[in-house]
Amino acid sequence: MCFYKHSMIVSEESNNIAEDSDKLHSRFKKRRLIVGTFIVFLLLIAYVWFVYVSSAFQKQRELVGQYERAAQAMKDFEEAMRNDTYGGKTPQETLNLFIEALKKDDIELASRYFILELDERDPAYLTQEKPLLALREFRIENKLENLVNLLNTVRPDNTNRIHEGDYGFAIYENDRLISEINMEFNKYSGVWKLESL
Amino acid sequence: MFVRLRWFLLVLFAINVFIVKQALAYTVDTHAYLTEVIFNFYNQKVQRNKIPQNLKDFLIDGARQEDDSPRWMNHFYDPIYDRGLSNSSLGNWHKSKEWAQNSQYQSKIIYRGSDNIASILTAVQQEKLNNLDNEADFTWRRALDYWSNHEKEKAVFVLGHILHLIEDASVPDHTRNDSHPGDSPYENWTARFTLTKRDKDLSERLQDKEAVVLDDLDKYFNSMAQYSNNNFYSKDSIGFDSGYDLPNIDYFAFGLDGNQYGMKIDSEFGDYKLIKSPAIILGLNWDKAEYFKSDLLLNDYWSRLSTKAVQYGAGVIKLFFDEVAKAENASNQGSLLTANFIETFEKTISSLADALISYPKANISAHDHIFDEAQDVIDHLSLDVTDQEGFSSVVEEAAASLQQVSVTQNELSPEVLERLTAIINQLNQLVDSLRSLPVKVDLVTVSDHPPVFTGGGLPPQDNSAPSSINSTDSDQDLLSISPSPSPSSDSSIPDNNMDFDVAFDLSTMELVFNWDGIETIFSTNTQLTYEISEIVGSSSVIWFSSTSTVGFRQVIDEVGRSYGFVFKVYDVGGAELVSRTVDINIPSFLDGLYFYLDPRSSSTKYVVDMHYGQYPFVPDPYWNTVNDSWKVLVFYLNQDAVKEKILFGHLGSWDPSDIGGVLAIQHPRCSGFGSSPGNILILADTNERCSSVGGGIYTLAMSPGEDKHLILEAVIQESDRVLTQYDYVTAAFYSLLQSGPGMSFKLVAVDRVHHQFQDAAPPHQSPQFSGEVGVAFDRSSSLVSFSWPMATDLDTNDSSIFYDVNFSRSSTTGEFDSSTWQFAGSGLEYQRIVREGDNIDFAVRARDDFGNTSSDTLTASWIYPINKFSIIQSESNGWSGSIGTVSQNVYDPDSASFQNFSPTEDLSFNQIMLRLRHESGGDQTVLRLAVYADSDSNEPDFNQLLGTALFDTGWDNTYPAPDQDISFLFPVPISVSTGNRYWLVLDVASYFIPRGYFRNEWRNAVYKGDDMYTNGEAGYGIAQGLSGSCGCGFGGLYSDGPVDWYMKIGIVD
Repeated sequence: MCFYKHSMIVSEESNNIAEDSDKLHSRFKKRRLIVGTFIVFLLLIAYVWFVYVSSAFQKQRELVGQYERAAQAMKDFEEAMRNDTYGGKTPQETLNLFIEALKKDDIELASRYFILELDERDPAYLTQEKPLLALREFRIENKLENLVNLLNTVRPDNTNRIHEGDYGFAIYENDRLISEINMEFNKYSGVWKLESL
Repeated sequence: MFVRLRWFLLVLFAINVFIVKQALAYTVDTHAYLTEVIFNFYNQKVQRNKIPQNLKDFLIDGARQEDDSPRWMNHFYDPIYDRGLSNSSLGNWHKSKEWAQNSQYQSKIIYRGSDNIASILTAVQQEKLNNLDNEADFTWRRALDYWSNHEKEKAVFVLGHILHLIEDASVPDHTRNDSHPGDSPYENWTARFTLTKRDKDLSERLQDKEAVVLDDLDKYFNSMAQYSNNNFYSKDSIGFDSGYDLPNIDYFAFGLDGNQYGMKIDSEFGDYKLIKSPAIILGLNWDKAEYFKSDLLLNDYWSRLSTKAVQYGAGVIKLFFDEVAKAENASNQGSLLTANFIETFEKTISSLADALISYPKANISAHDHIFDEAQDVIDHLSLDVTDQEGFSSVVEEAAASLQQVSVTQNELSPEVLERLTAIINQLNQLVDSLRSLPVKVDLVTVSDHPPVFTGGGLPPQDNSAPSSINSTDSDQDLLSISPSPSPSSDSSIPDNNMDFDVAFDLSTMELVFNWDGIETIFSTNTQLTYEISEIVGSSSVIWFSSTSTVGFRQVIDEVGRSYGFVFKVYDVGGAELVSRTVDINIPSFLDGLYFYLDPRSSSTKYVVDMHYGQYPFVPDPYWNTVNDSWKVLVFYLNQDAVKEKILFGHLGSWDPSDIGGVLAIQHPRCSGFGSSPGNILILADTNERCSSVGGGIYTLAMSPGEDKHLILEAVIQESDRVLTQYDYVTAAFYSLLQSGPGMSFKLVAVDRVHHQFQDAAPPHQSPQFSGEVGVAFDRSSSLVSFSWPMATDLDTNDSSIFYDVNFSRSSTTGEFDSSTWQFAGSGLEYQRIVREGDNIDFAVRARDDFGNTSSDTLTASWIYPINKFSIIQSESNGWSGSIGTVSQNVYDPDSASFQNFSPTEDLSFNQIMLRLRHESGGDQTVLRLAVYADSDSNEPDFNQLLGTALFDTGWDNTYPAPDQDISFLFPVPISVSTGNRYWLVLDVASYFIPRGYFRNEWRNAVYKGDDMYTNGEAGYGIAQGLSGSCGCGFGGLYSDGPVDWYMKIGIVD
């Protein structure tokens, strides 16, 4: 009996403790929720501040934006140069390919053996528009055949060579210099290109 | 946020992948080579603050690493437009000079962690740079901080980054906003120079060069960038279209390779090739690189730019150590030497001696460190000590101990001995300096006058002649005897035995008192006391009181005033035996100092106008060479000049510690960066001291030695203030005390005379003019030149004299009309286009900057020589067809203008005058006028060329004017006979570049409509062109004729 009573008491006490415990637990839970919500709110404010409001971060973003544009510009340049694969492994090879294209009257192909326009201020930047236009005029004036004949008489002339990626030919007529031809090596695509003709 | 961060990092990665190595200047290896040369050059040139050999690799590695992507975006500085890289596709980036000094810029996250360039350091060396891997801040301040913290490897590594930027400033692409990626002819050519492939000529070029010494890092960038910008092109920045006015071609010449070059005059290195006349091509495509395709040209560029890069780089290293020293001095500034410091000094010298004794055979690099330490303590020695004698003994002992080492240690290497000797010499000089200073003693009377000398013996004597003196006897009777109870002197003192005088020694700024001979007047048993007092108002201040000998010297620090003294002699009992007064006037260093409103300026400006008898005018009492350094003046407005004892350097200037009351002066600088105001006026003693090596007033422009006066603009802080006669100026004068690191100036004297403000300038002399006018006539260009000798002016720089010319005489008086004088500048020549029949009266007068004109006017008269023209058609109402053009090949015959003529009598001619117009283009042109016989087919016989005359337009594309007669002169007269027809053919013999035939066009004046010349007509066709051989062809007469040339054919003597 005592035991029962005792156990009843204990049980009652246990129940009370459990009840109290539940109440406490519940209060704790509520408090945690409030604190947690507050912390999330602060983080949100911080996020908005740093990402959208802080001038330091805005400047950083501007800088990143500028770099992105610069990176894109450089990327465009290198991609264009890498894709510019028309040409030979040697200057003579490129010249021969050019002559062959002229013989076929394929001036679009012939223009591709020229170096890309590298002055970013030029409207024809990273294209071969200018030599294509010039070749069109030559064709209109029936000068292509004469051009081919001249190109077949070239001989190497590197008196003005300034570095390894530079090469020159010359055209002479009756021992008189008619034209110089300068070539430039495209290190991105590994082919020689016509530079000045 | 994390998504955004991740994206941000991806962008960074992308940037670093795609902008790996954009060689937009020297390659990394060329930078390494240049930095090595800078290191060697610097160490070779300096005696102190050498960089130890073991730090060389850090310097080079730092220079290499600066090109890590994307740092190179900030390696540009355009000094003309004051910008960094500015480009529509790449954006706007920091100027390199700001990048070098701004930690905020460099610390951006975008620069961190980029590590694309391999290091040349060993693993052991890299350990000394620990935690720099994640750093991005490699600024100037950082380098200085590392050095101050004794992290020398890091300091030198960061310094290498700075040197890289200076080297980049020597590349024209980098200073002309040319970002041409990988396609710079100069960059491609210079890539051949590396640490293993050196330029053997660079050392030779540097042999007689010095480091460029400037006082500010910005100035190094400005000056280096100016040099490369102003004197060189880059591929995409040639000519005026580039937006840069400079450089300009000075003349043309052919190189040894047979190419024609635009040349630049260079007095330093010799004339060089600026640009190559481009290749002859067929016209399909043409790249601007052609202007640079020449070994000779690019070598000319490199030889100058690389030399300058080394000179400037070495100067930057020197500046680095100067700033290190300044920072250390700032913490020690003005302090007297402490006992601790003296102990440190003694210990350091002792360590040096011990090291040399213990390791006599070791080479210089082994002893570098201890030598540097010894030099360090010597540099920090101050002369401002209380116990001069005691300290000078310490220094003397130190010098003696080192001298002993140098004598006894026979195994010391020559380099070690040389450095040891330099240290000993410096110590000995210090001893001399200490002993030559006035001895500091306790003051007897407190005043602002020099203290009383109570010590025995005289300061060192100087044998230079003293200045004039005034000496007057007092009214007091020399024979007066004091009422003291026991006079021990002889009561009879003849006047003519008294010998007391005062003189002024300008070189040492000392008053020299002498009373030699007085002792002989009295009994030899008498001990006399001599006393000198300065009269100050109604009282006196004792300067000297002693029983010792017969003289006394005292430095004074105020000029422009009189000093009065009383000299007294007392016997042993205190009785006054002698009393004598003397006055001496010490003139100012300036003969005159004027302060007035500048009458030469249209706005309100004030000037300080100094006149002096000789230049330099401030004595040099402190420095070991006289009149071979600098002096400093400080002006004060409305207050007495302050006696600040020493002006210490701070941030490149030596301003007084309190600039309140200082009157700033504006003047052109020796550094060459225009005119700017300053609180002090630095005057270079010689032209050599006034250059980028030294600072101060621009002596060459102002020539203070020529007219013995300087006029400088005074800067009044309150711009709306109006000065009156109650305002005044005073001045303080300083001369060099210490040179090198810790450079300082010491007060020589103040001039507290109130130089009152004046409304008007003092009278100025007029220029003097004598000689004759020279007259020269250039018939071919119809120009007459009048020249005259330079005028002189006693108070204006002769180079600042202007000239006025006059061509108009009054018809009534015959005098030159006073209202028609024209300003002709400061040159000594005036040119005028003339025409046949001109009769010119010419006068020239000189005028100075104050508007005073010379009393003499030089005159000349000139009449156009009478030409004997046989054929004249001098009317025109239009222009011919095209001249000097081709359509396909530059060697094709060019378009030409034709005119036939038939003389009515036999005649000879050697001159034909035409009028020309440059229709399009602007290239320099050589026009050709050929004379042919007729072919009997109404066209020229091109196989019968009778004569050719050429006319070169020169580089001025506004010449000739369309209404100007141009003379074609034939070297050999051409004879023509009546009844025959002849042909004139005008075409272009050459342009500056062959492509000129595609883009230029000329025409000559004609008359259309009426047959003004009935014996001939004009037409068109083609002629020789560039080839010079006749593919000529007559096209025909003008169908809308008749048309005749404007022409005059005749003979000239």
